[in-house]
Amino acid sequence: MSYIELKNISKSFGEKEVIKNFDLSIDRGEFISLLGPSGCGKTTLLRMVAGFIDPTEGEIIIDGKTVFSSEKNIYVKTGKRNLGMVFQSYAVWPHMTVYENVAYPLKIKKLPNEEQRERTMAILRQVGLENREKDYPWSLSGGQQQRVALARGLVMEPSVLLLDEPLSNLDVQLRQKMKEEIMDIQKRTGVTVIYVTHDQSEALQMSDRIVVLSNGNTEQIGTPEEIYHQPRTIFTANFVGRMNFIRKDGRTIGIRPEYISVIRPGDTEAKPGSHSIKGNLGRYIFEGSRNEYFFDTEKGEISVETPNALPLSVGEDALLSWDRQVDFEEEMHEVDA
Amino acid sequence: MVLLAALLLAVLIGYPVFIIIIRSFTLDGALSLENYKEAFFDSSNYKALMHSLIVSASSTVLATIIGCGAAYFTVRTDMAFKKLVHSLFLFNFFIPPFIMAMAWRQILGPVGTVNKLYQALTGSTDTIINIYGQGGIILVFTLSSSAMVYMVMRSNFEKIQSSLEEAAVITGASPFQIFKDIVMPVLKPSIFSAMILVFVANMSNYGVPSVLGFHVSYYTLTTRIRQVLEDFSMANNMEVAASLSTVLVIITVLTLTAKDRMLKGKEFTLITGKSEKAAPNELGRWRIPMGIVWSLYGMAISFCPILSILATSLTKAYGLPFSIENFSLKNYATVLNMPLFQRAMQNSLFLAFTAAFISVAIGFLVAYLCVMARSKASGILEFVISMPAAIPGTVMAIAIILAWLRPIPVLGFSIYNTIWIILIAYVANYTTQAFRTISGSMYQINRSLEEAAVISGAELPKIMTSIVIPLIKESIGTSWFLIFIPCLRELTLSIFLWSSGNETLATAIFTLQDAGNYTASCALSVLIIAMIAAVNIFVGKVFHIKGTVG
Ligand SMILES: Nc1ncnc2c1ncn2[C@@H]1O[C@H](COP(=O)(O)OP(=O)(O)OP(=O)(O)O)[C@@H](O)[C@H]1O
Ligand SMILES: [Mg+2]
Repeated sequence: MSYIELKNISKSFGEKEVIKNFDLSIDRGEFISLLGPSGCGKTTLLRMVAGFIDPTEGEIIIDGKTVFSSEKNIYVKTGKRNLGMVFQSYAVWPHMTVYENVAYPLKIKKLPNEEQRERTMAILRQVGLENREKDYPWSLSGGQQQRVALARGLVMEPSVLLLDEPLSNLDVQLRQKMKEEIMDIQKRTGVTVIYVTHDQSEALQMSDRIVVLSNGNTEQIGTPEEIYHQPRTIFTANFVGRMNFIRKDGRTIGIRPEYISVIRPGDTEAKPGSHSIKGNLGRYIFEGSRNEYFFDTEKGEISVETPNALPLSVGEDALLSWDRQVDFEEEMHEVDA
Repeated sequence: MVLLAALLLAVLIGYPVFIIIIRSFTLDGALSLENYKEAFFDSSNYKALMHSLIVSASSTVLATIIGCGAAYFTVRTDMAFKKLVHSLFLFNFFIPPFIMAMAWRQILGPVGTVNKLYQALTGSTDTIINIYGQGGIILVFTLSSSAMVYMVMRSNFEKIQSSLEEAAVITGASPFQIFKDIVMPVLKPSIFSAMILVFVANMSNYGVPSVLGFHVSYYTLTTRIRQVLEDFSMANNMEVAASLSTVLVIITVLTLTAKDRMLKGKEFTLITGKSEKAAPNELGRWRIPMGIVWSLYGMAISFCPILSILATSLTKAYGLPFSIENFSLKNYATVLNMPLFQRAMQNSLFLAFTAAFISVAIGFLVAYLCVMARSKASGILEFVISMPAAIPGTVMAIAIILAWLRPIPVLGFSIYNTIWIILIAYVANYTTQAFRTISGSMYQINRSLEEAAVISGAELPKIMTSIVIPLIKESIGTSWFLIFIPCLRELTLSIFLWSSGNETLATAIFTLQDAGNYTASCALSVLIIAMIAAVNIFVGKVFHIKGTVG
């Protein structure tokens, strides 16, 4: 049986249904991301696991223990679910030192003083704050404060660590560094993680599996590779990475820009792939590590991404060809393109 | 310009303060500690000091508990009638504390509503409650100050992020532990400064102890100073009043300094991200009972006093029960036709208008010199103009009397017993507020100008007229009203400085009360409250600021 189970969870605020029949099983030690646009219900889901919000319907099991069930009328209080949580706003207590912040959960659990000290110092070492233990939060940078929050979330060795957009208040460079640190700490501690984000690159880089949400519905659950290369819905394909869409017989075909190779007219050596379309180079963007070309075709504009510059100038014709593509059952809507 | 500012501040504030200190140390033209000996060892003075400390401290504690409670329940819970409670607390700001004291005297005095009701019900002639003295003063201070604490703490409860509490909920901490370990410590600095604010305000208050204390010879420092000042049987009454005043100033200065010391570095800058909106704590079956309790309290601080004076003002004669056949508007007609009222109205309007203008002008000048022109003298200018913030009105009044009692050199006449001494006192007392508001907004502009690196000595006047003044127009207007409104109902300075023909609205109420004309004094009180409320609402509409008052 899986470690954490969310069974048929629904949540309404008044008339508005925010989460609809949500199902998810999580294995022990897994890193799960909830990914979706603003307002899709990620935070609501996370807070239901935490027990801050009750689902209107459904069942939540953590580590073999049912912590919520609408049917059996079970509700285990937040404090008894053995969770760690990291908030977007850090929520580091301003009147306590780094040490006091991190040791607080142990104090509440009334652990002996030496053990409190040992465990707090151990986790502070893990997040690289062992020599800041006596400092107050206001003397720390945003990244350091978030590390205090992380340490505080981990110190109880929780069944699951919940993170709600923990990096969105940090600047870009720090974000990359913290991403790696969080992954590293997760590997070392083996803690199960539910990570909320609207940033696809965070989800792709960090997760074992990603749950893509839109408007309270699950669009897809899968590994980062599956989500990226085999998106099941146009929504997912669009939200994670970029994709060209071509309409065909009431269905839609999706091709990632980097799937496509460009064959110049007269280039006889190159072998076209299983699919191809003629195009005329309309414009081109240079982005350093990659180049993006936009071709006008009979199916509309198609973008192609290559690591190396193409020997092609604007206005020239070429053949776009590819092997790999994704078939969608749905019809593409204008807004999706 | 520096010279002009320095001269103005020296004459208005520096000299009176200097002279009151000197006088407190002088006896028969020689330096002496005799006055202080008398101030401390005369048992009446000593007792007054103790009374001041007792009533201020106990009302501070009570008001803090009540104000914090009210703020907590209206902001952080799902209590019923929140809006009503909030409005009732806000309304309290329109009622000056001395009118509050008079209103409650009508309810809880020896011949007040409660005693009459009791006597009517039981046929007894005993009184069961008497507001005069310590208990009553503490009561009225608490009622008034709790609204002040409420306003301050409300915004602090709103600022505290729910995630701070949720981070503790996750650990399994109980609601009590969260309150004790997280909420209280985070709010402690702001609660502490609210307490200091209340303590100093009550220590300096003259109106309430004079309404509820004189009658039973219960004196606080402020009322005792008045009594000493008027005790011409004492040879050195002026000097003793000066030393008592100095003692009072020392207490307020010490309190304010202690506050700054203790809060240094403790004002947590809460790091805010997209802050989660706090879910109100659910009270369950206490939702409505709590709402009722707080609404009743809200009534006690606003409706009851208003109703009480309104009823009296609409009754034919004082003491008659309020009923249809005793209903009458004649008190208002009487008041409006009273020469005393007409003079007081004229004087108060003139004083408030003029004092606000002059205070703003001086505040603006000094702010300009300190912030924009960076005058070398800015340190001393700022110090002198900030002094009145720590000087209770009573003390300011004594200082002004001592400074202006004798004829002005060269001109050869004294302004004592004229309206001008009141005007000078108002300006001396309130210009510090104008300075604070205006320099605050100038400081902000100055920083952004500095970033643009345009400022140079020659360009300053142009920048002032083309950029700075247009930008701070609003704060100038605000500070004008922040002085105009409290001056309209000013009591403490006026009661020491008024003379026949130079009455103000507040002293007129006192005169009517002393003459036993309660119905008229109540009608006048109602008029003042209505006027304050109207100006406040007008200012709130125009300047989008709330709770101006004063
Ligand atoms: N207490 C509430 N009452 C009513 N509606 C709510 C409440 N909390 C959330 N919602 C609504 O539920 C929807 C999902 O909100 P949620 O906060 O879970 O979104 P999110 O995916 O976390 O978005 P974001 O990326 O902006 O944080 C939103 O439409 C929101 O307006
Ligand atoms: Mg969210």
